[in-house]
Amino acid sequence: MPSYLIETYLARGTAADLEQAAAGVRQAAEALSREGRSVRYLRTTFLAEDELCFHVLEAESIDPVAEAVHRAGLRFARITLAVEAASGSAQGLQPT
Amino acid sequence: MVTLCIGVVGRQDELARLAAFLTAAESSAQALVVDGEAGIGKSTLFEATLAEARGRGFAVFWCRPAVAETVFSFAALADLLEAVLPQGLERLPAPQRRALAAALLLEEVEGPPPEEHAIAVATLALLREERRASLLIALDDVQWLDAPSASVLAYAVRRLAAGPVAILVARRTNGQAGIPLGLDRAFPDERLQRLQLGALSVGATHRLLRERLGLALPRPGLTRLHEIAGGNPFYALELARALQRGAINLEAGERLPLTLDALVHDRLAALAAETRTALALAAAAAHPTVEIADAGALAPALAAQVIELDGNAIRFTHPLLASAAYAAASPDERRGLHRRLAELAEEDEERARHLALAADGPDATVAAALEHAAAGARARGAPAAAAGFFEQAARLTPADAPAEMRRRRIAAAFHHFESGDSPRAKRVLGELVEELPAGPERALALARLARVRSFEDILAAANLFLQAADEAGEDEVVRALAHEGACSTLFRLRERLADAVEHGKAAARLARAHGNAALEAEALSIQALTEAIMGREQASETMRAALEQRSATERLRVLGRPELHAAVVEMWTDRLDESRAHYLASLVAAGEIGDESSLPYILVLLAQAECVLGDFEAAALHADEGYERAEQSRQESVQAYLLAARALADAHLGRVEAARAAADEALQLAERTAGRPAEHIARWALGLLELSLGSPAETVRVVEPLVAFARAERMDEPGATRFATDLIEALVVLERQEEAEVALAWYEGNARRLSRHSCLAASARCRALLHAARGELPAATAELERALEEHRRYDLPFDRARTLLACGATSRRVKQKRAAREALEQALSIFEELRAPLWAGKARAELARIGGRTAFHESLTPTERRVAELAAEGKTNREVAATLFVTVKAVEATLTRAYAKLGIRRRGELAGRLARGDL
Repeated sequence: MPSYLIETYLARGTAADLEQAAAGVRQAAEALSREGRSVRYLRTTFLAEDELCFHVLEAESIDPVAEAVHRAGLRFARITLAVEAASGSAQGLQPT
Repeated sequence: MVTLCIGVVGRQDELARLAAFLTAAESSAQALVVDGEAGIGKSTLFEATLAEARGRGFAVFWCRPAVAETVFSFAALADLLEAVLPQGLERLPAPQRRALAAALLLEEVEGPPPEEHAIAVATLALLREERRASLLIALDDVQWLDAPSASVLAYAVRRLAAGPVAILVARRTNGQAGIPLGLDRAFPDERLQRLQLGALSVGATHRLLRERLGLALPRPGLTRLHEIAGGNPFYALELARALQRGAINLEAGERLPLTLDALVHDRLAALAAETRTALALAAAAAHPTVEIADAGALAPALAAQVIELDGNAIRFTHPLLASAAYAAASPDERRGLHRRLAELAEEDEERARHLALAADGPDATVAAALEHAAAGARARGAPAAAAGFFEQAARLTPADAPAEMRRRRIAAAFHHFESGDSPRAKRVLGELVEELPAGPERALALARLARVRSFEDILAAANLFLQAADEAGEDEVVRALAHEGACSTLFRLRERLADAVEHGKAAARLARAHGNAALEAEALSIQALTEAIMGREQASETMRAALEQRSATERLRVLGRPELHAAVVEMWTDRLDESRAHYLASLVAAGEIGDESSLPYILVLLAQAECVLGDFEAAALHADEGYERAEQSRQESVQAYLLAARALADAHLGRVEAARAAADEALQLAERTAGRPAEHIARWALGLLELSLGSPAETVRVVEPLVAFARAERMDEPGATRFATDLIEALVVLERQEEAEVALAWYEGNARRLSRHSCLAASARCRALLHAARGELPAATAELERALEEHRRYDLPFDRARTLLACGATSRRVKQKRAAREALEQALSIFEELRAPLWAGKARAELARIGGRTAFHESLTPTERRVAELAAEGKTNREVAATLFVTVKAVEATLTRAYAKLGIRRRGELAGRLARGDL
């Protein structure tokens, strides 16, 4: 399944703020999964300097990802298709 | 904190600091200065803080001056107080109400122009009234605060800093500038914070673009935009707008506008020409409204969010847009805008400013309009603005009117002085004095320069006034000013007093001829003071004439009013209770109009009166309060005077070291500032102290030059030269009877001629001491009876006690023990009541002599004995204090009592007593 990167603004705060943000996305994804939607939470990365927080979800399409963003209450999030490179191969990229 | 966050992107740390600032301000005074470059988001935080404060129940006063308002006097103050005007004015005392109403153009100016202090006091009163739970005073864009408002607010802030208040100031700067409004002097370090706003993060910038413009940029574009904008949110938004309209491309390598100014310029350039013209007009106006600009032409600017409307008022959504709109117009176009605004202006000052900006070269009409505006600004208490108008008027004066130009330059300089900018005034006037040839024009510059210099170097000022009087020629107005100044400065120097009187007469005559009642009153009252100190009987008539004109002096500082000068004469002429009452009334009058600069001088006069009346503690308190005020306002010559008054009080109170220290400092300062009155009082204090300590030679050393000076300069009012009797007594003790006789003849002659009963009493005492020294005891007794008779006619308790002391000593010598004891016990009682321990000790010593031998050593308390023993061993007072863990003052007081009980006068005698085992 492809991965999607959710880019949001998170003000510099405590570790608890980050945990809360990550938990929100994870719980939203889990709830959607229980409802039969194919979406899986992978990880969260926070760039404190830029106040940017990236969540990565794996899903069949962008729709469940958008739904997860909505349920997690993430405003002004940008969602883009992400290509994960592991062991030297870029999964998800179409061969040219 | 929720209120503080709404609408603000990023800035969590800053918001937390502002919230904490408000919380702290609920219990103590706090100040916060927010600095940042243009567009960084200061005003956003500022607005958020106002909202939070209102939510917490603060009373909020705020203003945001615009660049066009920098030159309008009290423009920011009017905005700040808008919520409480005009209804708040009704609760103010009349002088304050008139001053503030005139300054803010709420009422026509009637009568004298308001003093800035009165405006400041009125402002403070209004702000204090609104102090419910907490108070927030907030100023955004303080770099554009007009100078008169800044001065008034600095005054208010200093006085509000004693209680719970929040002072928030936002400023466009890179953080290197100093602290505005004197906040660093009003607030201790722990209650004054600085907040430098830095760049927004990438994430916050992204969120800002999404919220405001609905723009979600790809990461590379976002990063590049953030980099170009440097984290400046306004710049980022302008870049984003330019991106949206296709004006720029964020691809790497694409050429971009390098500055925010260029970006803003491009944004405005996208608007139609007629819109840009309307925007430039709005930017040039101090308070733009839809009435002055074409509403149709402005509509596109409204749609593009360059401006917004608040009722009829036009506001630029950011000051950078206003300055860019104005800068986009060519110089010719700008002059056209200002011509139009001059036609539309309703107030003279605003019209004059626009006329000046519309001028493309010297123009007599415009220069005249600026001078007229200067008069208006001065009339409503804005001398700094008046100075600015005069300077512009001088610059725009045509070259064929050089005298007009110079006159305006002189007026500008003098108004700079009146607004407190003495260095600038001195520089300009000094240049003019160098440039001009001798004559009436230079005389005016000299007279103005003399007035400025009179606050720092009275001798230089006197010479300048005399030179001005010489050069004024046919110009009677300038001659009047110069003569009045010469009279005043010579009086303050106590030199050439007869000449000073003549200068005063000339000034009064010329002022009367020109219908200048205020100057006439000033001249007459200084002339009267000078005549009074010379003991001339016509002084009372002159003072009466001055008081008749007192209504014309209402605009003057209290210091310059005839009522205060009349009180000084009362102090010299055996009307000390009236004098004290009038000094106290002057303090009240000065406080009412905020005339703080007069307070130190009134307090030094009051301290002197209290000393002569015998309330030495009150004198010391007044001197201390006056000194603190003089120090705050940097009035060095008055500081010297107050130190001297403090020394005189301490000398009476027997505080030996304190009196010496104060007198020494006063003499040093007096020498630097040519402060003659301070020098005289300081010498008097030292002379009295040494006489009290039984050191007559020292008394003669410090007071003899003073008496010689007074005699040479014809200071023949004995009420102003009471120190002479201390010299005479000291000379008698030293058996220099001929010299004592000469001094006494002078003093007594004046006292008799002017019927000064208190001085006749002191003279009679001195004459009695002379007789007693010669062994002429019956004559001495007769003189002492005469002295007591004079004391009954006008009683000064301390002096009477000294006379009773002399009575006791004389009665003892003629073996009239009962009479001696009665007189000495009366003297002792008075000295103790007045807290004059050194003289009380003299009385006790005399009482002991009636008993045949000194037996008081048995009555030394354990503490007194211990202190005396340590002092007898050779320890200094400081060392004794350190040994016994007490203060130096406590040691001094204990030793004084011990000396008195032992009937000794000097420390050296303690050792002898120790050797004899008398301690």
